Amino acid sequence: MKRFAPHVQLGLILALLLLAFWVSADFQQIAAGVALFLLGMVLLEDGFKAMGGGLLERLLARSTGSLPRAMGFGIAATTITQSSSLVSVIAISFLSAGLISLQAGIGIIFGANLGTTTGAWLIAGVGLKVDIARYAMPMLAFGAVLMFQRGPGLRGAGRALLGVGIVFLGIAFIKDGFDAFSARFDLTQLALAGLLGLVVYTALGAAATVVMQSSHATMLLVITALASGQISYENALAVAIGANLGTTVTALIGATQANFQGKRLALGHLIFNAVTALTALVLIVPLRMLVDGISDLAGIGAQDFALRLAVFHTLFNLLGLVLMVPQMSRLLAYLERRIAEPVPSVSRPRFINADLGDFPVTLLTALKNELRHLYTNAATLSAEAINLRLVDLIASKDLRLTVERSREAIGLDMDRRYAEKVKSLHAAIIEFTARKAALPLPAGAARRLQELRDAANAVVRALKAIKHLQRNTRRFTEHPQGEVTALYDALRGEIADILVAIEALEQTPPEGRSSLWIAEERRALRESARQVNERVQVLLQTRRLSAADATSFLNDSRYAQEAMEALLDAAEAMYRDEDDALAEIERLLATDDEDEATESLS
Amino acid sequence: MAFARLAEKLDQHLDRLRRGKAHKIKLEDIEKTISKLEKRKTALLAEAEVTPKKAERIAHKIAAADEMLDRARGLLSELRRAATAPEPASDRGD
Repeated sequence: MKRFAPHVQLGLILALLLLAFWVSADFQQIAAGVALFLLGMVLLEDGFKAMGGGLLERLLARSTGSLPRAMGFGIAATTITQSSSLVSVIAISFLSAGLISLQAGIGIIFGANLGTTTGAWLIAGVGLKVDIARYAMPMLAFGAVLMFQRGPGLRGAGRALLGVGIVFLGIAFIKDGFDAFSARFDLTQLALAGLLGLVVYTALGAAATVVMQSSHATMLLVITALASGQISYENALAVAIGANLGTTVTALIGATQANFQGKRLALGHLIFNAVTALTALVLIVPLRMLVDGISDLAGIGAQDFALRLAVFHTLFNLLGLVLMVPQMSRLLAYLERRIAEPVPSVSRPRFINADLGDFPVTLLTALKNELRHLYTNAATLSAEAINLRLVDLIASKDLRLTVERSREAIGLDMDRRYAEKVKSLHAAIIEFTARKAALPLPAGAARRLQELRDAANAVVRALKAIKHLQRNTRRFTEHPQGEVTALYDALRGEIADILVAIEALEQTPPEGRSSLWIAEERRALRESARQVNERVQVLLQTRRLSAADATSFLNDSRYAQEAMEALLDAAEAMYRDEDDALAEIERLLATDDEDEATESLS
Repeated sequence: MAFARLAEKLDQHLDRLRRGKAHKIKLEDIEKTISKLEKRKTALLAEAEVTPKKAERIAHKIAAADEMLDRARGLLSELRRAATAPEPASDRGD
């Protein structure tokens, strides 16, 4: 039954539309206006996403240090884009990637709620007072020209302009539709006074917002209906309250698939809107008096109910902020208690998830963190494979001594641990990067995505190489056997050096480190490999090492080199500078295979 | 040889830049990288003094840091030269 629910719902909506079209041809124009408005909003959102080139995301990352700043960002971003859903999606994405706190996310949502009320002002103050369709025409023409340009910024601007043009056209359609409709019908006959009217019209406002998935569309309809005298002012106020409640239903539906942070944000949004709506319903009489007082002071005409509705919409959302902001810490505590963070699993992805959306900043941050997670699992396993413990190595003051003292066998089922801690994570990263590579990402982001995917492959390559040398390394180091043990200890020491150097990079703040440090490790590694080879030659010549042990060691030494180079490849990508220009410089300066080939020839 | 490879990589970068596939590098970006490399070299020299056991390994790292610094300075002068060089004369149809 649950499976068929969406089909039943869709069928019902289509049947209702058909019935309404049959009853009134003017309703077709109103419905077409709403359709154009919604289409315009989609284009506007897409345009802002493409035009910004990550601008909104960059601003968000910088403007959410405190609650007032987060709220300010929510207000400003929603006022500019006129899309609270776009701002909410970005907030969820940033929260899921761990780039902002839950408090910042809630602050953005609170701000977006207030920012969205500017839409009512635009519709009531401008949309209904001028011939808005005339302004739409040049926007449509310019938008279409820009939309087919090459640059993503221009294409985005074109889409946004086209979106605004279509929104304007939609408003004009609705306005004309209501004017024509009013000549034949009088919907105010359906007006309900008192508490019943308040409840019924609040429910209607919420239902309309759920169906259209847009509180803006509901506000547009109610303001236009109010201006044409098709709804009473009192009932319109209730619809506005309902529209706020309706948006939370949409957010809750979206949050069913979200991770715990997305769910917390959706619940916070629901609580905010529910508290605001209930308070507004209870205080509707004094609120209405306050609106009248403010409107009279601002010079809004006594009969200009559309603008008075805009005042009410802003006022009751402000009321919500006044009520909820002082309760922020209690709200956060409740959300964290109600929706607990799942216990992090070493074998499951912790950072990449469906809530990240398609924003380059968030998906690359999450991917980098997941790569680090994969690397940590692989590094721990690599060390244990050769009877070393990563934590001991990191804490060690004398690595060579720590290695020499680590002779005790560490019980390890490498295949099982690989399958548990590395394989599933690696598969998740590969699947994630393949999916995101299909997105129209900026060139720098697409390159970085590929770099991080290659780094994940390098981590697995390193572990597989370590697996090859595990047996002999354990055989020759668990019990001292003279020179061959010293050779294998030196090899273990080299691997330990690399693991510790990479950990040191992790512990250094981003502004103080560079992926170019990896070149130093490569140089030291190469020199060390050369010295070890010379030492093996000497040991063979002086018969202090058997030919059988020497060949075993030389084979294992090659595997170790392969593993260490692969670990360094992964680290180079992990610690690449976040700044695009500095990352380009690091790529230019870094040594690559061809550099090494030319150096070995020289 | 290393500089020839750097020049080759720079050409590839400029080509990608023309196609909108790379990020533009400013002179101050390279200066920032040089400053980071210089600080790193200073840190390595200090580390070599306090950990004589690791002196040999650190010496190799310092050699690599020097090489990076040379490359970075080479890149800076290449880009400075490119920034001040006159535009190549274009074919005119008249």
